[in-house]
Amino acid sequence: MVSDLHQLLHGFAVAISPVNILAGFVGAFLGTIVGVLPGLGPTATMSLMLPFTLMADPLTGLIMLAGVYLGAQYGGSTTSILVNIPGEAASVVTAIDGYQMAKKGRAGAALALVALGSWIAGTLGIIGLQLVAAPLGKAALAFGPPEYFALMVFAFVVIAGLTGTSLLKGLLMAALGLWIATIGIDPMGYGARFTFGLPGLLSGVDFLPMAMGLFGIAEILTVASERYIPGVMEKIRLRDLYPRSDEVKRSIAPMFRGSLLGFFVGLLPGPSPTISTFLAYAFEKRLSKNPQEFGKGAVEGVVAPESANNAAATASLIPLLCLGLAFTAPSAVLLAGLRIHNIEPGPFLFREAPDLFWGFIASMYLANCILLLLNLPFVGILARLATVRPQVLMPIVSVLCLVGVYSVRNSIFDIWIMLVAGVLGFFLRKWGFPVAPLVIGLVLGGMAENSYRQTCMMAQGNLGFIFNRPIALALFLLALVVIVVTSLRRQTSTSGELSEDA
Amino acid sequence: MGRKSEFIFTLGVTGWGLLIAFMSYQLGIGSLQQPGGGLFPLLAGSLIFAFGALLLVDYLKTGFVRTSSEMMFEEGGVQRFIGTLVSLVAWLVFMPWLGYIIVTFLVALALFKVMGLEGWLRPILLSLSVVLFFYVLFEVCFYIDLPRGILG
Repeated sequence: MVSDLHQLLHGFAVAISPVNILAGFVGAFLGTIVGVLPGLGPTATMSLMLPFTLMADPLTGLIMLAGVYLGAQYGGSTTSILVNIPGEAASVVTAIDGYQMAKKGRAGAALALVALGSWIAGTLGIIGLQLVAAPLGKAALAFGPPEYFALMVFAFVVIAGLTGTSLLKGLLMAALGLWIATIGIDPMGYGARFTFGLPGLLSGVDFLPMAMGLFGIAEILTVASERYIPGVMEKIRLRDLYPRSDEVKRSIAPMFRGSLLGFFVGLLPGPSPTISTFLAYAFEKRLSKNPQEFGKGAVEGVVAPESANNAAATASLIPLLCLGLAFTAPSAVLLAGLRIHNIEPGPFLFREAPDLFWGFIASMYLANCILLLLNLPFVGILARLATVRPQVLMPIVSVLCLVGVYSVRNSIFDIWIMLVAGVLGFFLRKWGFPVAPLVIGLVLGGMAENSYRQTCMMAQGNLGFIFNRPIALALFLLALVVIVVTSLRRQTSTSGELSEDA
Repeated sequence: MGRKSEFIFTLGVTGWGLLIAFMSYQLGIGSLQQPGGGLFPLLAGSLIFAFGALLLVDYLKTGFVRTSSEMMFEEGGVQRFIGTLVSLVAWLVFMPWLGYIIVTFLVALALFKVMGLEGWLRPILLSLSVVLFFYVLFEVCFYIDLPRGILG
């Protein structure tokens, strides 16, 4: 523990350099802006930022991406409160009471309390990350290929079950992602696979054009396909910017409860920041002495979900840093960012690259403080960004996607991949196929194949081998339980829907 | 569009899964003791086929009753969708010949107009700003060599 603290202090020494602070500031600023702008979510922005991280050293690039991630979590709440348009999924719940507060002239107070709650949640999340990461990383050393493979199967099943409306659609997308990851030269030397005579595919399908296509281009095409309806923004008066003492008093406990809940939910696979907001809201409503106020502008209903999603966003980095596994779409982008710099996160990361590991954790503290400094004074200005019309925004994002992907390898083929992925992403969205399992399948595909091969070789064709690996067995059984429970729950809700229709 | 097109897409993906499984088998699956290059893709292809087939059964069971809640394209959406896509493909096709500056300006202008930005002065000024901003960012700040095309 003392050594961890010592390492963290060393991390601060590494992180506090002018370049890194600037990267954190730029990341947090861009993340907040993008969170404010309806449409582009944290994953799309982080994908758009990936080419820029190549221009910097790994830690600086990672700090920038982390800043974007945390900033987008906060920024999404601004439009939820002011315009009743959630910037991203994790801010949907915030709109329920946040917009009602805005209509009562308490928008500034809501935004200020959310900024404070996000800061507390982020800081608590980072303390938790610091406490859990090292022991979990050490425990993960006991994981062999069967355990890793089982954990990935479990993660795919949970992610598929929690994203979108259908478990089958989610599983189909995960399997598609796994197949795309096998395109290119086989790392074990068995030659080219599924390249269809295209030389550009020999090195495989790169994550960056896929992610920018599935999130960025798909968003642009979605906006193009829809009619623009401008939102009405509530005005913020300076005197309303500061919360009253009773509002602060009512907010403190929900901030801590939301943070704790969000942290634990964040450790699980799936869209944890979004799920944590629903749980935190329901929890606060149940605990409240005045549950009838929820939906009419209860400050607890704004602060708790926002604290929860920030803590969950931080906690979701723990599996990434300790196990090298991405359980959420934004952490998959972070994983891709690390791999671009030839860094493979996992249990060995803090032994082999302690500067990077502890520097990253320290930089999260910094990004959190930057966010607070950035958000409180500039709430009014940021809110105005929500009124930028998509007619202006989307062409700019289009050019950023095109030039951004081209700049990485000067490859026109990569842009073709991005456009194909964009069209695919557009139709997948419209038909209700979740994109997150595909992206996570693509990122983890190589690792899953390696673990699968090694497991096969270890088992020597004996399927009973798995009974000698209790952790792997337990994870496979858990995956099975999730499939059964999710299918039954979906069946019940479907029959419920049908009977309601009838 | 809606659920019928969703069914056709799923049918296509299911067939694709079967094709992947077949191609993986041809790549050589080896044995469980010594897996070949086709074993893991065979697993992925089989899963795509299996999940796709189950989805198709689900569609057939519900008899296309549940229609997609959101429309595929809203008023004028098809034109904007195609216009956007054509503009992006145009950048891709013409950029190596005409160069970054000319193509990006024309494509940005086309995108502003396709998306419905009124007038001409604002779209032209915005397009020029976009070209200049990304030129400075990538070429000047990050030393990325953007093709000059006929201007080079």
